[in-house]
Amino acid sequence: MSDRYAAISVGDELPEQVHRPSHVQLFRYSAATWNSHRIHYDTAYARVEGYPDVLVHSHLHGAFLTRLCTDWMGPTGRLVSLSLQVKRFATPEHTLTCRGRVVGKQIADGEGRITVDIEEVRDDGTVCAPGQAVIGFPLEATA
Amino acid sequence: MSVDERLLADIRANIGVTQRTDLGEITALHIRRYALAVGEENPLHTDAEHARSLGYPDVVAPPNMLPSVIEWGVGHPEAELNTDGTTGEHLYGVDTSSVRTMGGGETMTFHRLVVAGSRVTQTTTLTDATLREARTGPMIIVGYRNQYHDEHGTELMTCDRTMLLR
Repeated sequence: MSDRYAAISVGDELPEQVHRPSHVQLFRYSAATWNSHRIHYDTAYARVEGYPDVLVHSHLHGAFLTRLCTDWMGPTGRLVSLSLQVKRFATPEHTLTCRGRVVGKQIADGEGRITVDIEEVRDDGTVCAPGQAVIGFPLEATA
Repeated sequence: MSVDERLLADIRANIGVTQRTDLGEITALHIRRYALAVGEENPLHTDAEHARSLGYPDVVAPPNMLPSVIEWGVGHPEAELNTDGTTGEHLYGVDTSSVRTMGGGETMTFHRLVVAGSRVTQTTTLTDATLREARTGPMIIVGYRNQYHDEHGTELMTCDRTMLLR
Protein backbone atom coordinates (compact mmCIF):
# COMPACT_ATOMS: atom_id res chain seq x y z
CA MET A 1 0.00 0.00 0.00
CA SER A 2 1.33 3.46 0.70
CA ASP A 3 4.63 4.35 2.29
CA ARG A 4 3.53 7.93 2.11
CA TYR A 5 3.75 8.36 5.87
CA ALA A 6 7.40 7.28 5.93
CA ALA A 7 8.23 9.68 3.09
CA ILE A 8 6.89 12.76 4.89
CA SER A 9 9.23 14.81 7.07
CA VAL A 10 8.66 17.54 9.62
CA GLY A 11 9.25 20.82 7.81
CA ASP A 12 7.75 19.63 4.50
CA GLU A 13 5.55 22.26 2.92
CA LEU A 14 2.23 21.60 1.22
CA PRO A 15 1.82 23.05 -2.28
CA GLU A 16 0.27 26.51 -1.95
CA GLN A 17 -3.23 27.11 -3.26
CA VAL A 18 -4.43 30.53 -4.36
CA HIS A 19 -8.08 31.64 -4.30
CA ARG A 20 -9.67 34.78 -5.67
CA PRO A 21 -13.21 34.63 -4.28
CA SER A 22 -15.55 36.62 -6.51
CA HIS A 23 -18.93 38.16 -5.70
CA VAL A 24 -20.51 35.37 -7.75
CA GLN A 25 -18.69 32.71 -5.75
CA LEU A 26 -19.76 34.26 -2.45
CA PHE A 27 -23.36 34.47 -3.65
CA ARG A 28 -23.42 30.86 -4.85
CA TYR A 29 -21.77 29.70 -1.63
CA SER A 30 -24.50 31.51 0.34
CA ALA A 31 -27.11 29.82 -1.86
CA ALA A 32 -25.61 26.33 -1.64
CA THR A 33 -25.40 26.59 2.16
CA TRP A 34 -28.76 28.48 2.45
CA ASN A 35 -26.97 31.21 4.40
CA SER A 36 -29.02 34.43 4.38
CA HIS A 37 -26.50 36.59 6.30
CA ARG A 38 -26.49 39.89 4.37
CA ILE A 39 -22.82 40.51 5.06
CA HIS A 40 -21.98 37.97 2.35
CA TYR A 41 -24.06 39.38 -0.55
CA ASP A 42 -25.25 42.91 0.33
CA THR A 43 -22.38 45.39 -0.07
CA ALA A 44 -24.41 48.30 1.33
CA TYR A 45 -25.14 46.27 4.46
CA ALA A 46 -21.49 45.19 4.80
CA ARG A 47 -20.52 48.88 4.78
CA VAL A 48 -23.01 49.55 7.60
CA GLU A 49 -21.02 47.03 9.63
CA GLY A 50 -17.83 48.90 8.73
CA TYR A 51 -16.41 46.61 6.03
CA PRO A 52 -15.35 47.77 2.55
CA ASP A 53 -17.33 45.04 0.77
CA VAL A 54 -19.08 41.69 1.32
CA LEU A 55 -17.12 39.16 3.37
CA VAL A 56 -15.85 35.67 2.65
CA HIS A 57 -17.81 33.24 4.87
CA SER A 58 -15.99 31.73 7.85
CA HIS A 59 -16.87 28.25 6.54
CA LEU A 60 -15.55 29.14 3.08
CA HIS A 61 -12.19 30.00 4.66
CA GLY A 62 -12.55 26.53 6.19
CA ALA A 63 -13.33 24.98 2.79
CA PHE A 64 -10.18 26.50 1.25
CA LEU A 65 -8.04 25.16 4.09
CA THR A 66 -9.76 21.77 3.91
CA ARG A 67 -9.00 21.51 0.20
CA LEU A 68 -5.34 22.44 0.83
CA CYS A 69 -5.15 19.31 2.99
CA THR A 70 -7.31 16.91 0.97
CA ASP A 71 -5.56 17.72 -2.34
CA TRP A 72 -2.18 17.16 -0.69
CA MET A 73 -3.10 13.89 1.03
CA GLY A 74 -4.79 12.27 -2.02
CA PRO A 75 -7.03 9.20 -1.93
CA THR A 76 -4.84 7.24 0.54
CA GLY A 77 -5.02 9.97 3.18
CA ARG A 78 -7.76 10.55 5.71
CA LEU A 79 -8.51 13.95 7.18
CA VAL A 80 -8.68 13.23 10.91
CA SER A 81 -9.29 16.76 12.16
CA LEU A 82 -9.04 20.37 11.08
CA SER A 83 -9.31 23.50 13.16
CA LEU A 84 -9.22 27.13 12.16
CA GLN A 85 -9.76 30.51 13.72
CA VAL A 86 -11.07 33.34 11.58
CA LYS A 87 -8.93 36.27 12.72
CA ARG A 88 -9.38 38.85 9.96
CA PHE A 89 -11.92 39.35 7.21
CA ALA A 90 -11.48 38.93 3.46
CA THR A 91 -13.48 40.42 0.59
CA PRO A 92 -13.52 39.81 -3.20
CA GLU A 93 -10.74 42.43 -3.37
CA HIS A 94 -8.37 39.96 -1.75
CA THR A 95 -6.30 37.15 -3.15
CA LEU A 96 -6.07 34.37 -0.56
CA THR A 97 -3.15 31.98 -0.37
CA CYS A 98 -3.40 28.77 1.65
CA ARG A 99 -0.18 27.26 2.98
CA GLY A 100 0.73 24.35 5.19
CA ARG A 101 3.82 22.96 6.86
CA VAL A 102 4.28 19.57 8.51
CA VAL A 103 5.03 20.07 12.21
CA GLY A 104 4.60 16.57 13.64
CA LYS A 105 4.40 12.83 12.95
CA GLN A 106 3.09 10.13 15.20
CA ILE A 107 1.52 6.69 15.02
CA ALA A 108 -1.90 6.50 16.65
CA ASP A 109 -4.88 4.14 16.31
CA GLY A 110 -3.03 2.04 13.76
CA GLU A 111 -2.31 4.83 11.30
CA GLY A 112 0.47 7.28 10.66
CA ARG A 113 -0.67 10.76 11.59
CA ILE A 114 0.79 13.95 10.21
CA THR A 115 0.15 17.26 11.98
CA VAL A 116 0.16 20.26 9.67
CA ASP A 117 0.11 23.96 10.61
CA ILE A 118 -2.09 25.67 8.06
CA GLU A 119 -2.91 29.27 7.29
CA GLU A 120 -4.81 31.37 4.82
CA VAL A 121 -3.12 34.69 4.09
CA ARG A 122 -4.37 37.80 2.28
CA ASP A 123 -2.23 39.40 -0.42
CA ASP A 124 -1.36 42.24 2.00
CA GLY A 125 0.29 39.67 4.26
CA THR A 126 -2.50 39.58 6.86
CA VAL A 127 -3.24 36.10 8.18
CA CYS A 128 -7.03 35.64 7.87
CA ALA A 129 -7.28 32.13 9.24
CA PRO A 130 -4.57 30.15 11.01
CA GLY A 131 -5.24 26.57 11.96
CA GLN A 132 -4.00 23.03 12.27
CA ALA A 133 -4.92 19.74 10.62
CA VAL A 134 -4.19 16.11 11.33
CA ILE A 135 -4.03 13.71 8.38
CA GLY A 136 -3.81 9.93 8.70
CA PHE A 137 -2.08 7.55 6.28
CA PRO A 138 -2.13 3.75 6.29
CA LEU A 139 1.05 2.17 7.65
CA GLU A 140 3.16 -0.34 5.79
CA ALA A 141 2.30 -3.88 6.89
CA THR A 142 4.67 -5.11 9.60
CA ALA A 143 5.54 -8.63 10.64
CA MET B 1 -27.35 48.13 20.90
CA SER B 2 -24.28 46.19 21.85
CA VAL B 3 -23.93 42.97 23.75
CA ASP B 4 -24.06 43.13 27.53
CA GLU B 5 -24.19 41.08 30.74
CA ARG B 6 -27.95 40.62 30.41
CA LEU B 7 -27.72 39.00 26.97
CA LEU B 8 -24.81 36.92 28.23
CA ALA B 9 -26.95 35.65 31.12
CA ASP B 10 -29.80 34.76 28.70
CA ILE B 11 -27.40 32.77 26.54
CA ARG B 12 -25.61 31.14 29.46
CA ALA B 13 -28.96 29.88 30.80
CA ASN B 14 -28.94 27.50 27.82
CA ILE B 15 -25.50 26.02 28.37
CA GLY B 16 -25.79 22.24 28.21
CA VAL B 17 -29.11 22.34 26.40
CA THR B 18 -29.15 19.92 23.47
CA GLN B 19 -31.20 20.19 20.31
CA ARG B 20 -31.60 17.41 17.73
CA THR B 21 -32.37 18.18 14.12
CA ASP B 22 -33.09 15.75 11.29
CA LEU B 23 -31.18 17.22 8.35
CA GLY B 24 -32.80 14.79 5.94
CA GLU B 25 -31.08 13.12 3.01
CA ILE B 26 -27.78 14.57 1.80
CA THR B 27 -28.35 14.49 -1.94
CA ALA B 28 -25.80 14.16 -4.74
CA LEU B 29 -27.10 17.41 -6.24
CA HIS B 30 -26.51 19.29 -3.00
CA ILE B 31 -22.98 17.85 -2.74
CA ARG B 32 -22.20 18.79 -6.35
CA ARG B 33 -23.54 22.32 -5.91
CA TYR B 34 -21.55 22.77 -2.72
CA ALA B 35 -18.39 21.44 -4.43
CA LEU B 36 -18.91 23.84 -7.34
CA ALA B 37 -19.45 26.78 -4.99
CA VAL B 38 -16.23 26.20 -3.05
CA GLY B 39 -14.23 25.54 -6.24
CA GLU B 40 -13.57 21.91 -5.36
CA GLU B 41 -12.17 19.98 -8.35
CA ASN B 42 -11.72 16.53 -6.79
CA PRO B 43 -14.01 14.20 -8.83
CA LEU B 44 -14.74 12.22 -5.65
CA HIS B 45 -17.27 14.97 -4.91
CA THR B 46 -18.81 15.28 -8.36
CA ASP B 47 -18.35 12.07 -10.39
CA ALA B 48 -20.24 9.00 -9.13
CA GLU B 49 -18.21 6.65 -11.37
CA HIS B 50 -14.96 7.96 -9.90
CA ALA B 51 -16.37 7.64 -6.37
CA ARG B 52 -17.39 4.03 -7.09
CA SER B 53 -13.88 3.25 -8.37
CA LEU B 54 -12.65 4.25 -4.91
CA GLY B 55 -15.21 2.04 -3.17
CA TYR B 56 -17.96 4.55 -2.37
CA PRO B 57 -21.52 3.93 -3.54
CA ASP B 58 -21.97 7.54 -4.75
CA VAL B 59 -20.33 10.97 -4.62
CA VAL B 60 -18.85 11.98 -1.27
CA ALA B 61 -19.36 15.33 0.48
CA PRO B 62 -16.26 17.48 1.02
CA PRO B 63 -15.30 16.89 4.67
CA ASN B 64 -16.45 20.24 6.05
CA MET B 65 -19.72 20.46 4.10
CA LEU B 66 -22.04 19.36 6.93
CA PRO B 67 -21.30 22.20 9.38
CA SER B 68 -21.15 24.74 6.54
CA VAL B 69 -24.80 24.44 5.57
CA ILE B 70 -26.71 26.93 7.70
CA GLU B 71 -30.23 25.69 6.98
CA TRP B 72 -31.17 22.20 5.78
CA GLY B 73 -34.90 22.80 5.67
CA VAL B 74 -37.01 25.42 3.98
CA GLY B 75 -35.85 28.31 6.17
CA HIS B 76 -37.82 31.29 7.40
CA PRO B 77 -39.85 34.00 5.68
CA GLU B 78 -37.89 37.23 5.20
CA ALA B 79 -40.06 39.04 7.74
CA GLU B 80 -38.78 36.69 10.44
CA LEU B 81 -35.10 37.32 9.76
CA ASN B 82 -32.93 39.60 11.90
CA THR B 83 -31.60 42.85 10.43
CA ASP B 84 -28.41 41.06 9.39
CA GLY B 85 -30.41 38.40 7.54
CA THR B 86 -29.77 35.60 10.04
CA THR B 87 -32.33 33.78 12.15
CA GLY B 88 -30.38 33.56 15.41
CA GLU B 89 -31.96 30.11 15.67
CA HIS B 90 -28.77 28.49 16.94
CA LEU B 91 -29.11 30.62 20.09
CA TYR B 92 -32.16 28.67 21.27
CA GLY B 93 -34.69 31.46 21.01
CA VAL B 94 -32.56 34.07 22.82
CA ASP B 95 -33.37 37.43 21.24
CA THR B 96 -30.32 38.46 19.23
CA SER B 97 -32.27 40.58 16.75
CA SER B 98 -30.20 43.70 17.39
CA VAL B 99 -26.72 42.21 17.63
CA ARG B 100 -24.28 41.27 14.89
CA THR B 101 -23.21 37.66 14.57
CA MET B 102 -20.15 36.25 12.85
CA GLY B 103 -18.41 32.88 12.68
CA GLY B 104 -15.18 32.79 14.65
CA GLY B 105 -13.81 29.43 13.67
CA GLU B 106 -14.20 25.76 14.37
CA THR B 107 -12.52 22.51 15.27
CA MET B 108 -13.77 19.58 13.22
CA THR B 109 -13.08 15.91 13.92
CA PHE B 110 -13.94 13.57 11.06
CA HIS B 111 -14.99 9.98 11.66
CA ARG B 112 -16.64 8.85 8.44
CA LEU B 113 -17.06 10.44 5.00
CA VAL B 114 -20.61 11.37 4.08
CA VAL B 115 -21.88 9.63 0.93
CA ALA B 116 -24.83 10.98 -1.09
CA GLY B 117 -28.05 9.35 0.04
CA SER B 118 -27.13 9.35 3.74
CA ARG B 119 -29.75 10.64 6.15
CA VAL B 120 -28.09 12.81 8.76
CA THR B 121 -29.06 13.96 12.24
CA GLN B 122 -27.40 16.93 13.91
CA THR B 123 -27.18 17.21 17.68
CA THR B 124 -26.28 20.71 18.87
CA THR B 125 -25.21 21.61 22.39
CA LEU B 126 -24.44 25.10 23.64
CA THR B 127 -21.16 24.60 25.46
CA ASP B 128 -19.99 28.03 26.62
CA ALA B 129 -20.54 31.78 26.43
CA THR B 130 -18.22 34.52 27.69
CA LEU B 131 -18.16 38.31 27.42
CA ARG B 132 -14.95 40.15 26.72
CA GLU B 133 -13.72 43.51 25.53
CA ALA B 134 -12.47 43.27 21.93
CA ARG B 135 -10.81 45.91 19.75
CA THR B 136 -14.23 46.85 18.41
CA GLY B 137 -16.06 46.88 21.77
CA PRO B 138 -17.75 44.26 23.93
CA MET B 139 -18.10 40.82 22.35
CA ILE B 140 -19.82 37.62 23.45
CA ILE B 141 -18.07 34.44 22.35
CA VAL B 142 -20.45 31.49 22.13
CA GLY B 143 -19.31 27.88 21.79
CA TYR B 144 -21.36 25.04 20.31
CA ARG B 145 -20.76 21.41 19.71
CA ASN B 146 -22.46 19.92 16.66
CA GLN B 147 -22.41 16.14 16.32
CA TYR B 148 -23.55 14.42 13.15
CA HIS B 149 -24.80 10.85 12.82
CA ASP B 150 -26.18 8.90 9.88
CA GLU B 151 -29.39 6.84 9.82
CA HIS B 152 -27.54 3.83 11.28
CA GLY B 153 -26.36 5.85 14.28
CA THR B 154 -22.78 5.96 12.96
CA GLU B 155 -20.94 9.07 14.09
CA LEU B 156 -19.85 11.05 11.04
CA MET B 157 -18.15 14.09 12.52
CA THR B 158 -18.03 16.54 15.40
CA CYS B 159 -17.69 20.29 15.01
CA ASP B 160 -16.90 22.62 17.91
CA ARG B 161 -17.85 26.03 16.60
CA THR B 162 -17.33 29.57 17.89
CA MET B 163 -19.76 32.40 17.15
CA LEU B 164 -18.97 36.04 17.86
CA LEU B 165 -21.76 38.42 18.89
CA ARG B 166 -21.22 42.19 18.84
